[in-house]
Amino acid sequence: MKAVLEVHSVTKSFGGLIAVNNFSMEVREREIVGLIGPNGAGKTTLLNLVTGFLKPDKGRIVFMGEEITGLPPHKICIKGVARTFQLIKPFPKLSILDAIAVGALVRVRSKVEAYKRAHEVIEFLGLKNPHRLCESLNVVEEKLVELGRALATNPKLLLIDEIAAGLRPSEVEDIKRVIRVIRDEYNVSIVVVEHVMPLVMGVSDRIVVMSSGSKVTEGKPEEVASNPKVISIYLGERRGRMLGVKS
Amino acid sequence: MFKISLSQRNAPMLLAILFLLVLPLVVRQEYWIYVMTIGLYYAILASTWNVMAGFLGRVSFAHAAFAAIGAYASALSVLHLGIPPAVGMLIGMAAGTVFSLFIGYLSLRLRGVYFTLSTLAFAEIFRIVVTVEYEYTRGSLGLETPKLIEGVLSYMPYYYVALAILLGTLFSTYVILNSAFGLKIKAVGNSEEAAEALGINSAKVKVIMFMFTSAITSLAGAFYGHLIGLVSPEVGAFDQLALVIAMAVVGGLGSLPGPVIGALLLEVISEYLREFGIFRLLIFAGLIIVTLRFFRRGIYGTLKQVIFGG
Repeated sequence: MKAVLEVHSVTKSFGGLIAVNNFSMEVREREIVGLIGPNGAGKTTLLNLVTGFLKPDKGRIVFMGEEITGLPPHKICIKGVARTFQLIKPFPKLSILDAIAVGALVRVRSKVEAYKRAHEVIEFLGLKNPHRLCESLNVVEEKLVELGRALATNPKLLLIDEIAAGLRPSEVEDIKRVIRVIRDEYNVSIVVVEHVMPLVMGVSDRIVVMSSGSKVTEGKPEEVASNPKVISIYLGERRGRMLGVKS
Repeated sequence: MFKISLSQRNAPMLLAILFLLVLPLVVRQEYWIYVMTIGLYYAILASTWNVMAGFLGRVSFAHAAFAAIGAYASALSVLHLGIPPAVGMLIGMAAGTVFSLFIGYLSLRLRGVYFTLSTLAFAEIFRIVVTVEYEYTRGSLGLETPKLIEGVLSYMPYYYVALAILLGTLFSTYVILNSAFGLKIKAVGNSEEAAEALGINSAKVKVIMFMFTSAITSLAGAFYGHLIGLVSPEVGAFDQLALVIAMAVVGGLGSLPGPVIGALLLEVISEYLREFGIFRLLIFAGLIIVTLRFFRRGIYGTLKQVIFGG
């Protein structure tokens, strides 16, 4: 399978703190990769490096065979990388429809065409009453709109940053299903950065474990879950819950 | 691309335009027509300031300075090149556009309050340069300029020129805000980072809108110079800026009619309070505080909420 995203020995430090240290990974076509690690492991920093919100000190980032290291965020989005934010950044004064149409505008010029695409995404995500303002939505809807905006840009690679944080277990199940359907319907590779284990274990084809800015291990969910190194640095106290998910 | 239908929704707007069209014919007092013309000038400034502040969330303190740039560029070119004031106004507009490209390009990449601070610095630099360069600008004495329309004593024609510029401003703003580009503007105004993650070059959007608003502001400033026949550093002074901000905020930020209502109302009030001089600013500052504390949507937004309930 062809690699969609290649991260080659990327390093980023803030002052004396090395957030991402000589880190490499790749994401292949139509693959869902889970990126996990304890708080402060550098997961979100890595996402910001890939999407251009931060520039790496060292290393290269290649997307679809083309180097994108250091490009500004909007150009990286135009190339086909979309993301959601860990702390959601909604458009409070826009309607659901407008917010998602903004994403579509990166591919189409006319407003009519953008609204048509936005309607498709809204139907796909099952959002109701798309003329409501984004400031009036509940948590789940806010996250779905955030996801919908990213989807409307018609990405080849979708980076989802902690979408399940603060959701109820039943809602997590819904999101899990949505992520799978997105991969199948939109033919997109997905990176899921997540703390909620049931989601990331259930949805990923492959899992990359990060700690203190470096890669600890990677592999299939069950391999990673039984890796003693992972258990000791990250999952130790939550082992019981992990095993519960696996069965 | 867009339909304008005679529905109930835009009936109030058409009534308002009709009202402004017949107002001088009804009032017929030169003094009040003059006051309303100045009011329209402020309405243009408040409307364009509102585009940056109300829709893009970028507060510019160089707004009055751009009016002064237009006024000086027009006055100087009319005096030295011997061209008619109407052409001078276009030169003023061009000068404002060029300046705004430079300032916008340099300062709009800055986040948050730093854009505001750099526009304040620019406005002050401009005011000092104009005051000091006595040979060209006659300093704080002011530069006498020919009137826009010669041989007419009435202010009636000026009123209609100002009204035409205002309506042109509102119409073009409306078209821009309702276009695909307008959607990008609103996205940048709501969350710059999210807009960038969705493929929008936010710096470009902001610079384009800064140029658009500054172009109209300079045109209005040039008109103002040829209306009163004198261009002085006062056109770009801070109290003028404060007045414009008060008008936009009191009228209603983030709406098109709001700043117009605020401007006309405050200009009329300001005439009645003439004897207070510079202390009028204190009263307007109080109005801003009251508006922001109790009626955040301003006069227009509050009225709309009361009448239409939403």
